[in-house]
Amino acid sequence: MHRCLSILLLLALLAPACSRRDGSSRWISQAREANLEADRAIRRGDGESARKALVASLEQPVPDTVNPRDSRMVKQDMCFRLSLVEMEAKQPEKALEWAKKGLSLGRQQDLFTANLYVAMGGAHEALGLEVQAAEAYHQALKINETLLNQTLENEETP
Amino acid sequence: MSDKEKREAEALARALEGDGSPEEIPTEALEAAGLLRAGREDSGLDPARQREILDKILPVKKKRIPWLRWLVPVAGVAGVLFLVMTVPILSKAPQQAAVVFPAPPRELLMAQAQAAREKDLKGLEKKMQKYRGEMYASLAGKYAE
Repeated sequence: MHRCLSILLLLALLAPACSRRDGSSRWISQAREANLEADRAIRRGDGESARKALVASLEQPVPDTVNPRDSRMVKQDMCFRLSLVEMEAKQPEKALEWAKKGLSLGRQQDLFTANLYVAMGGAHEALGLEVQAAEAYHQALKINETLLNQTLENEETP
Repeated sequence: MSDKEKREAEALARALEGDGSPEEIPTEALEAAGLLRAGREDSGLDPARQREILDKILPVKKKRIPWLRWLVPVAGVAGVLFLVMTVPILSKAPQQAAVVFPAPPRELLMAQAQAAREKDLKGLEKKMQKYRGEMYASLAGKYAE
């Protein structure tokens, strides 16, 4: 009886730890695989498959153990890619939607936010919305300048 | 076996059977027979007397509570169930610290600036592919720990 209780106790303690680790790494793996699938699809000119792979990945629930900053970056990068896929498919409205969706996840002074502003600028421009396009590009360039300065500073530091 | 040993064995057998007068049987044989008889199940001790003796020499037995013997396993199982239900909730907290991604290289940032100025989205995406690979490598390394 005591041995059974000890085994049950051990399983109770180990099970959540295992599932926790599996959940976050599985989420990262599926996102990575979706990107690779999208790469392959785009290379063969199959925008539809690229879209499907990225959308399916975006719809996956993010485990609680994944840091929100990490999940935001992963999702924003996918939204950026989806925006480019729609631009390629001559669907600027949809491209704009994806850019907006990506930016709704959070705006930071980082590469992913700047990319989304670039995509938004491109979509606005394709829709003939020159002012909005200029504003989006301007936002992108502001972040880009900050990042470029940081990179140059890092390069100068021995 | 010597003659003496044979005589002693016969005396013990008689004592066990209850034959012969006690004077004829050696004291050692009588004692041994007594012990052997008392050890037998049909020693003739009254069951009521047996209980009485047992209660006298084992006073703790009297105080035993019948349901107490079930308490330990039931409490154990309840404890395990409690842990199974609460440990996942309590262990939810440790969220991974954010991954420190590699700094975007200068070429990538130049491509980004070019995309914003000259609308070269494809050039940006091309540079992003390499960075994306590094990004997922960092993520996979961190979350596999």
